[in-house]
Amino acid sequence: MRDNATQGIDRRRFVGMIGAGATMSVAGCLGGSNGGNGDDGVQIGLLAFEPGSAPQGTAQEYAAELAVDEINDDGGVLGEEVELHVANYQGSPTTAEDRYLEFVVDDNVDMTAGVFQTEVMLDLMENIAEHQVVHISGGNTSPEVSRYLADDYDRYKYHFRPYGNGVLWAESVAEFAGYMHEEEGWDRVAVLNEEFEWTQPFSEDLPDLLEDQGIEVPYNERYPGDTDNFTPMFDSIEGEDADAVLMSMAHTAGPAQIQWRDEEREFAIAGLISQINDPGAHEAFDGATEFAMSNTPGVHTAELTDQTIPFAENYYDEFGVYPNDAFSYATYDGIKMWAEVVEQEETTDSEAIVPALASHTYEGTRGTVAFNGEGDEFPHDAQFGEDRLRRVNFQWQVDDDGDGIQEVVYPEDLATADYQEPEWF
Amino acid sequence: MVDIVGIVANTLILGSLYALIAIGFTLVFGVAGQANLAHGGTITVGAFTAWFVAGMGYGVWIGLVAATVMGALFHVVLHSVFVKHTDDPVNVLIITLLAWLVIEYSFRAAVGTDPRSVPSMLAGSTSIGGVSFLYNNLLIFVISWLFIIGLFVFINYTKVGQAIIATGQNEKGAALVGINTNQITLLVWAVAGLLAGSAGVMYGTFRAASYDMGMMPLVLAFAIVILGGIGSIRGSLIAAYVIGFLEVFTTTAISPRLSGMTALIVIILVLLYKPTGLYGRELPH
Repeated sequence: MRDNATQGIDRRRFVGMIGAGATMSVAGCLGGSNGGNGDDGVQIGLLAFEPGSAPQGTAQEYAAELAVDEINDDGGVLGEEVELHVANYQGSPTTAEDRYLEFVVDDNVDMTAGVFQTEVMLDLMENIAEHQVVHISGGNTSPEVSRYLADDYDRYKYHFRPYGNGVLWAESVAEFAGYMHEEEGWDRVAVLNEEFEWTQPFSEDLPDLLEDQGIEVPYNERYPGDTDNFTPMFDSIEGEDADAVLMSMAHTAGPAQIQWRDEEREFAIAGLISQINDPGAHEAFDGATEFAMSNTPGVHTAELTDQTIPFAENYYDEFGVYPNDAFSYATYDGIKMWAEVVEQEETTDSEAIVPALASHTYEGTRGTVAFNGEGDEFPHDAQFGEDRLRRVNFQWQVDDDGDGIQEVVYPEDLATADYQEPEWF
Repeated sequence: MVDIVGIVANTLILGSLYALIAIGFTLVFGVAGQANLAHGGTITVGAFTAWFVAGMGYGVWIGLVAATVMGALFHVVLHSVFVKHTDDPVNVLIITLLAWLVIEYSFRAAVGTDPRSVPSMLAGSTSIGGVSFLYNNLLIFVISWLFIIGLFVFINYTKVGQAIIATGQNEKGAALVGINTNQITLLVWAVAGLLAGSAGVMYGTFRAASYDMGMMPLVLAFAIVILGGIGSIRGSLIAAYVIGFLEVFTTTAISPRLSGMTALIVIILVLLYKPTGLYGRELPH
């Protein structure tokens, strides 16, 4: 097995890091500290994608800052101040490995969080296993990540995802399509997905889940992540007389939304459209999101728990925007949950924290977070269900002031508005 | 089911836009012998200029004019400050690549990574022969051809245009008969910037404006110029429609997974089997 720790880093620096790491490890053993890393407080490292310019990384950074501030306001962890380190991994696996090594070796962090792209996360799994520091993901989606744990739990058990994975999300999207089949006559539904690892469940599992509910799937295609011309695909979907298209995408929502609206396509658009889950998307896309729908862990308009709205409002007061998808909700919940477990176990030692975290239940902003166990299909991914986490499907609608608002249309008990047909239908 | 009429309609619109993008690139290549990789950046400059101007309330048409001017201005500055001081084509390649990256990173820092919607030049749609066309897309077709025809007339029927042809044929010879070849080269860069800036606006109304939007048009411009024959405007026109058709046909009739790949395959095949392209290395005429 290759040693990822040596990838993308020059040998002299790597040797230096190992030396520094060894020295710190010895010092840690001799010192017998059970809180953080001695006198330096508790350290958290966040790997964010282009924080400040990309919405995903910015949301992770904001959520982590808010969580850490609140923890410190409540007295810190184990009586120590929590310090947050944020690194931009620029969407590159190599850069992510470099920044991760700096966190665990130079900064001696007690846990890491973040990472948005699945491809980057898959590459980091070996590093996490090697350094045995708890990592709580904040946005990557592919079931491939949890399959590492299913295949070799003891090696990869340090990884947690407090928001599940794409298989569960595809099931949630299918459930919504079933509802629209009953309510709005979605009898023929197209499936169109960006060519990334995380969207595989939407190409492989979703069509079967739709057909099980009596919905025909006449079109199921994937397209490259740099596509900006959707007209031919939309022509084909319209040619198939589809009532809706379910898309999973994280990079191409702009051109897809704009062309769908400008070309006044005769089918609804829904699925898991990561970019429009951002509450700032309506403004950022200059209104092109209106009538589009997406599946998300939470929106600030829906009270999933009694924590949802206070969290969203605090977040807004602090940063001037509302929380964005799992990047915000799960990063915030993940860090707070870890801190709660550390307090409970009175140590940051991963060997104690991993089993405690795996069996812990945490009342978060979206519901009760609890993780699948070692023998489950997706170990350490969050559980879904009535008394666990739920996902909502919202539609971008425009209020009386002309502002875009994310209105939940399903599940019905959480709905904040009725579904609106596009005005050109 | 393959929609032939839809494929033809999309090809006509895409092809004209691609032609507008590629002609400026081939003009600089053919006359000045310089491959301007910042051409993709100029498209970004054009799209965001129109987006800013429209956002300030002046409308997208003023935005189109502003983008055209900004595109030309960007090229004039790029050429005057950097490119004209180097004779080595490789250095030109590096300088323009860096300029493109600076443009991309600047827009990413200023606007962020979210795509922006450049307003349509004309809202609404009409039906021609049973096929629905957005007015905006019809305008893209018309405006692209107005620019192309304007360039054709300028080059073939004006003194300055003749000087451009002469400079492209033989720079030293042109200088010997009294043509200021430095000024001609600068003019060609400015015209290319003008075309790319306007193409950026139309590309933005058709798709979206984003900091990295220049990559695909640049790849397409390369494919078109290589297929059409380096320096040939006529070849670029035909090649633009061929590339446009291949993209639309591949996405519609074969698989969306292959979109974007056809242009690269064309580059490889042409370089292998007909390196001179459809019209060889000829001059604008």
